[in-house]
Amino acid sequence: MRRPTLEEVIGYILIIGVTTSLIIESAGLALYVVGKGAIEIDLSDPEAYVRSRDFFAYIIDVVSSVLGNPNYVDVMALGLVLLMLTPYLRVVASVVFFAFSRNYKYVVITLIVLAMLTVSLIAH
Amino acid sequence: MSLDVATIILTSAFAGFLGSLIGLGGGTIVIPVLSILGVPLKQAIANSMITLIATSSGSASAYVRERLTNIKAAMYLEIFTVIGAIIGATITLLVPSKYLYFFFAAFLSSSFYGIRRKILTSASHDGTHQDRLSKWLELEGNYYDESLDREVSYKIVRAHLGGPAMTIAGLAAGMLGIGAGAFKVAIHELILKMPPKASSATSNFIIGMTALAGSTVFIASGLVNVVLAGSIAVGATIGSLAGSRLLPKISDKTIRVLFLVVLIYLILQMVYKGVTST
Repeated sequence: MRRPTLEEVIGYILIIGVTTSLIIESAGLALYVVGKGAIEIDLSDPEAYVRSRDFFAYIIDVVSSVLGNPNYVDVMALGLVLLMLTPYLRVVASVVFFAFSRNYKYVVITLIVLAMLTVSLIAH
Repeated sequence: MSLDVATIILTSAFAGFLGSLIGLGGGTIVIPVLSILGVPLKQAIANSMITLIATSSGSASAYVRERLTNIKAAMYLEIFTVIGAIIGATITLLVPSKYLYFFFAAFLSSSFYGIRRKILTSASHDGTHQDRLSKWLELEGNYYDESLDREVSYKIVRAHLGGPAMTIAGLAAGMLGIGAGAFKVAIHELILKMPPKASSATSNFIIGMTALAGSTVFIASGLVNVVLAGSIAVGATIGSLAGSRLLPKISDKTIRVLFLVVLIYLILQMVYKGVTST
């Protein structure tokens, strides 16, 4: 089997990530409107805010809530988490791809980007 | 107008639509509109930034497979925009909103470059002599240009200047929650000497990463409301998809006039907000 090009891998990650997250967000919005019986956005509702100090721990929280007894906040949060993971995964895929191609210059460059993103996602 | 799901989806769809026609992200339009609807500016910035990932990645997936995007150049430049965006977003959380309104108005004015460049034609950069860093970074590319009906190949120059310049683009993007696409395109074309199509596609690709970097800061700030961010994301993505389909059918002049009117109105609104806010 032919090894896919980096362009193909990244193209698929981006389109799958964005489409999936949009479907989930649309479902979350539908749950919100049906559940509340209103379309107003209440900025003073503390439940509707993302509380994440450590993004990766937050992912586990969100996924376990959605698998348990999901409400609209969990579903919408899952959509946003997937959206943020999309470009993150495209950097991870690039690191792996450049490692396979033995282009160590670009393994280092992509690892620098990945490290900065990871630190900023964990350390707040 | 009131702050509800339908209004936000519709305005974001309009913003995404107009944004994709003129080559700017939706944030430039969404943020002032949210601010007019009564959302605090910092909150408008934080929620709009995440949704930029959707509008950027949606069109980027097509450009990447057409080989218009220069992935190596993007990866190198992202080192700089990611640093800039993280610092920029942190500054936004710390400074008073009053100054952000003025900074936003000033930066909106840089979008005029995007309009001007639509008129310019580009020279090809075949056979340019590359400097050592650009060559070491393997910064070159080629793609098939449909309108020219030929293969375009190019070499990037002055990577040592383009990188640091992108830090400034990332800083502005992170501070204001926008893609700063016009600014990035200007760096790609004027400093790095990339041809226009590669330049737009690569800028669009980098915007997704800059938006993620800024979002890593905002997601922890307690400003991200899932209903608000979700409504913007859904609207803006539908709008930008519709815009990219319609793009070939609408005249450049119509787009430019429409955009100028909207842009001037938003700049005036932001200045007014800045003056009247305490």
